[in-house]
Amino acid sequence: MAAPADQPLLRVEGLGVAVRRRAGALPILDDVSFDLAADETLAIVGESGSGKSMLALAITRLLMPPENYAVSGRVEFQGTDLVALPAAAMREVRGRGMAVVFQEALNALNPVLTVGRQIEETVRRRDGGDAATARREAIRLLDEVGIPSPERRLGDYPHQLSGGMRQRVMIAIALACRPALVIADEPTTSLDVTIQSQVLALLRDVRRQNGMSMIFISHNLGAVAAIADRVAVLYAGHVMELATVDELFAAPRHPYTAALLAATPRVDRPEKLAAIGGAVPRFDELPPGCRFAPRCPRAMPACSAAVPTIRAPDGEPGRRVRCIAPLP
Amino acid sequence: MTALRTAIAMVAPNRAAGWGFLALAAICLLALAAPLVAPYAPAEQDLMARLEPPSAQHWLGTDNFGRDILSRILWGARISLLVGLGATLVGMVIGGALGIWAGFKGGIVDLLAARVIDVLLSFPSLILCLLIVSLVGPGVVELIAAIAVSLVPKFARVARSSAIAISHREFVDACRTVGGSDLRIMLRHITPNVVGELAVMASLWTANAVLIEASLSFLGLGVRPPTPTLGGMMLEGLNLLHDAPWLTLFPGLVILAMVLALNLVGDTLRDAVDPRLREV
Amino acid sequence: MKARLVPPILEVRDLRKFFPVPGGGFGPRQAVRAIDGVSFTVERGQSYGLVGESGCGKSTVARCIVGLLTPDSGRITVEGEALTTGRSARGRRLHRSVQMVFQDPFSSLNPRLAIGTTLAEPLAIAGGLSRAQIRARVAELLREVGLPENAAAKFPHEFSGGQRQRISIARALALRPPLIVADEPVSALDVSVQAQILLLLDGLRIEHDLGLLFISHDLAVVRNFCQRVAVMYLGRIVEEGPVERVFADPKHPYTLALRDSSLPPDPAARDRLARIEGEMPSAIDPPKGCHFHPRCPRRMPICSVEAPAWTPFADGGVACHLHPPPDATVTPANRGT
Repeated sequence: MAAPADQPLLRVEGLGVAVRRRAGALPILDDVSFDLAADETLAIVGESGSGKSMLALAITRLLMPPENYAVSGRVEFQGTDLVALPAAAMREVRGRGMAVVFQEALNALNPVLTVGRQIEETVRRRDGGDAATARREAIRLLDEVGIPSPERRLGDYPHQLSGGMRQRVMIAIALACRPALVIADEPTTSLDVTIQSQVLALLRDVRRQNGMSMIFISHNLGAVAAIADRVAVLYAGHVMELATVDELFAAPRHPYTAALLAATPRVDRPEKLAAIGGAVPRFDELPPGCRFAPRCPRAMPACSAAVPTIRAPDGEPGRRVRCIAPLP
Repeated sequence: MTALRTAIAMVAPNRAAGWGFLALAAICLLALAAPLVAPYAPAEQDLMARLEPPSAQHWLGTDNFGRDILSRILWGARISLLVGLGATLVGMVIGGALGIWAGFKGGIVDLLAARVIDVLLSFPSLILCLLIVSLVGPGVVELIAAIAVSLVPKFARVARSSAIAISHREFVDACRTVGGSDLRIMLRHITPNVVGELAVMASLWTANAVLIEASLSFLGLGVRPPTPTLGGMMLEGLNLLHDAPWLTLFPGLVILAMVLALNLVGDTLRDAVDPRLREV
Repeated sequence: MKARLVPPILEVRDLRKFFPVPGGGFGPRQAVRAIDGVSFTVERGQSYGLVGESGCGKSTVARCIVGLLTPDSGRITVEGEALTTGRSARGRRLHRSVQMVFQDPFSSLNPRLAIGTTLAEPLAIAGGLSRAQIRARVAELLREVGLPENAAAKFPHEFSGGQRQRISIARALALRPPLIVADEPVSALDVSVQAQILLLLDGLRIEHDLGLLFISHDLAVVRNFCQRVAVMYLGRIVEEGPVERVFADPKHPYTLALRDSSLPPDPAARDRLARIEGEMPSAIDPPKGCHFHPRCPRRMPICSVEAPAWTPFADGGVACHLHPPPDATVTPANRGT
């Protein structure tokens, strides 16, 4: 059931997630909307407490236990609304349509099964076929993700591999599903700088070669700039800005995006850093109106009156900014 | 005050825990007030009223010396609580201190301590107590000491593993870099972070200590008659179980209530001490 | 070298620390060569960056300097006085002149102690102050790190990560040390908070003329907040010098790889991805010769044979066979034969 050509691969519309608690529902994500085209990388960038990891879990319906969360809105993947999908059908989507690469590969991999076994299982779940074929496919996948002498690595257990190698194995398992969409949640955060750069390059390359789409979730602006086609900036559960990567970094329209860039030290040229005062608000203490207003240098009384709608700034139909007075 | 309020807040929505606290408080109060509330002296014999079933005169009946069971239970509960709490407290202080020391010091000290703890733990508490009491003889103080000794390795083990974990936290390093001594680190930084867990254990082990005291007294190795203890009373009633079941039943029920209440309190404390459950 | 009136705030000479590998059996005893001959100098008022990837030994250097670890050999001098390794009163007093800011703001504060108690502890241990004086100093410390005075009565869980890191900095400042070692002080923090803490540290450094040894894996942070930098790889310093020179014109291939792997927030830099292969090998059995040679794109035959000597520049230096010392007997012509 391939989507028609004019439809995006993934369309998220008005997505909201609230945690159900004794004291009432606590909204985390609110009014999150974006499209993801085929063969495209969308980065979701945000600090801790922005709700970015919950977004990944909401799209893949991996929020556990599900009864603790109230999900509203639509997540349309290849024309199907995932929010309303029965659990069994959702498992099918996760096995074939989309794959997830998590931050901590050590937790995501089964410690008592060899790497080869875990890849082969995924391959056979997808394609059926005999053990020998699955093994050949596993070797091919390990080779594709740049693991040297893959035949020998098949027998290794996850703890015998370095962090970078484990993350490559995670990517191999994701590829084994031959998904249309890969969701990578902080895939390089726990890695060293040089390894981080290797894994980012790998993600970029395998995405292109396999014609997949990717949602790349990260707090690292450098990684986002290097890998994304478009970027959504998330703050306290709201998408603040959505733009192509070049537009966003060249001329941020939302004051939060601008402040985040100004607070990020650059390795290529020294710059005077401008800190953002205060801290990301907790979800049980969200300010009224624009959630960035209390920390915003350009805030005015109107900002706290109502939550600004997200809209295209003048003359830029492709962008979205949730600000009543976007930067010029 | 905040701790108390947190505790109350924890208990409020939890019915079982509320009953546990209430029952424990009632038992403690009644036991403490035994001299005031007991209708008879515990050793007062009324040979005219032997082995009487519960009546208006003797609510819980009398034993074969005509002593009032209710009064003896009230006085006996005093001893049981004294032994239970006393032994647990002594065991916790000694075991906790040893465990913290071993866990913090590490190296050879810890290695030795861990082995000794393992050996001691391989004896069931009751057997260990029997052994000690048979050496030092019966009596309240002896009983407390014997039970305390059997509890030391249990507390030491928990204290040790917590102390090891906390020794690796950066605030311990921070204290070292300002020149803090080992003693200071153990007292100011490790102990306060271990004590909550020990207190939880203590409430659970107090229940056990009460049982051990009852068992030892029941075996005739506990407190000497005529001092009433709950276990001793059950022993005395055992021969007459068929003719006068109230001799065994009522002390037994009180032991059951005490142990149950202590366990409920312990469980609640454990939840209160666990910071993961306190957040949200 | 020119004569100097004041000794540097910190001088580390040929520091070495190996950790025995537990188990091991009957073979030759193995060791993790965490630091293998590290030397550098930090001046008063200077922010000195020590960068490298995890496992390079930078944290071990920090822990040796603050006295949490005893080095196997080498010298650590603070304001001209050698740090003793023992637990003597003098050793402790000297060690107090070096204080540390830790990485994890959640593990570095005792959850059971009020902030005021935590900040008073160094003062109480050092002695010589009355209760009122300690209280006043605690209030002053809180003010210096930008926290309200009522923070003293609160407990760690009432603060955010950034605020806890401020408290950790206040504790390090309590004894007015001339040198602070900051071990990845901002790597656990969000970008927006990170900048606050960096600016705070920088302000304190200038105000108190502090020496700051800044341990980090983040080159961008070091570039913006340090005057000098030393790059470590597998227990050794491979390059050292003023940040401007090291980042603009890295001499060691590893420094270059590290710089290019650190991605600036700029899409134009996306073609820099993955210019370096392989991973850092184990410090138990480091490669012979130059430790970096298995990953080095410019390796030569000699690199796997002989460890490169230190080549001093006018300011700083490098350990790489591409830049042999001027008096070396090995010339490019006969090298590797």
